[in-house]
Amino acid sequence: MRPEKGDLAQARKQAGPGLSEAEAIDRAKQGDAESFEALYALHKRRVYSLCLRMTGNTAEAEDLTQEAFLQLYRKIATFRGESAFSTWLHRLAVNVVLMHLRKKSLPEVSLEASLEPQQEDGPKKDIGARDNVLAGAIDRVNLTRAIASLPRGYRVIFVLHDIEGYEHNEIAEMMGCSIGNSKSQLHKARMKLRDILRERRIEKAAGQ
Amino acid sequence: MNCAEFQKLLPEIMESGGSAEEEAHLQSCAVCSDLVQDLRYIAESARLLLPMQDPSPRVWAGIREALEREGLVRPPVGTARFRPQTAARPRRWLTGASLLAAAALLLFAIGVLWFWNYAARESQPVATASLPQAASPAAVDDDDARLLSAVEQRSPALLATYRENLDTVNAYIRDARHTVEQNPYDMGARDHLLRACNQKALLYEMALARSEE
Repeated sequence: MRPEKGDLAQARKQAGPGLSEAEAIDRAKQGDAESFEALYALHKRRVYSLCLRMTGNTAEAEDLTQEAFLQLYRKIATFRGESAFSTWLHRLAVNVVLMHLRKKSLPEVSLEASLEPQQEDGPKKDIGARDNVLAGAIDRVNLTRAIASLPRGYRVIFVLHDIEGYEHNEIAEMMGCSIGNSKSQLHKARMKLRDILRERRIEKAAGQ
Repeated sequence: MNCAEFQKLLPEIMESGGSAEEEAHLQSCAVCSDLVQDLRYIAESARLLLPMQDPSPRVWAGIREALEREGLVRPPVGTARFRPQTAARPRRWLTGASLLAAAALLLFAIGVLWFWNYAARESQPVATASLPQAASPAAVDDDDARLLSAVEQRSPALLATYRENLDTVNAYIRDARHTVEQNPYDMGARDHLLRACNQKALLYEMALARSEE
């Protein structure tokens, strides 16, 4: 997983005046309430954004953010610093979301299968047609919207790999699928996004 | 190799590159070349997306309640009280000029809000030239330059990070601003622009926070 983006690394290690993140973690292990709150303030945005991007639902994302931090606080005594705290928390949050998605699917269906989009939701199979490239034509607003409109299975893989920076072997382990399947699903997600963005560009051009 | 065969192998090609035959097809086929270019562009653009939203206050309220109920928290020890924030305050960086920079950015955000309300009241879309002069993009860029200059003088090790963050958030603001100009009644785009401005204000706030000793 890539390091936290948009992040003034040194500044973010401070949880408050004269208090480093490491000190906040140590105090939180002892049950210090303000340290809990400081750690929440430091990491809430990234955790919530992850949950929101994976679920596409504000209420679900908030519930999952709450659950992720509660699990963090229950387990914080076991954090030994082998990895960065943010990495540990991020992986915990991903597992919370995936567990939630697993519960929403039928028990006899694997998470991987439950997230597989219906054929009509998949990318178009239009091999030979040429169209103008997207490069330079996508802004972050439209890309964010397009990601939110992806079928859930595609969205989960795309968020984990292309936004959050997990490798396919990590995704395969978390999702209980093969590396090949992770690559295949990611490719379909990107193809679907391409379809969505091209359609929106056509609609926009038609409306002008 | 034809296009169908090439595109069937794309998931692997995108991850680890293609064979000589696959590369040759890519070089000779405009359709597949455009496709690969689009997919790479989508992946690269996604990499630049920042976490932009905070959860509502109810989330922390729920966490706190659960912590107290489960007996996981106790009253804080020691006399040091601190506010949850994302930046330390080790030393003075900026002067009154930086306060003006932050004020200019706040005016920019307020100007954006004024622009939205004005567009909502009017029946016709508002031209971009109607944005308030007091918070023009040129003034914002000058503030960024002053901020980076101050960072370079006081903490050169953080300069690259600040510059990268400013570039990213400015790109967000440009994109969102463009979307709002194209679709003045798009509330989602307006919300996105406001969040982008807030993100930039947070960067300035973090820099200002270092001005206290």
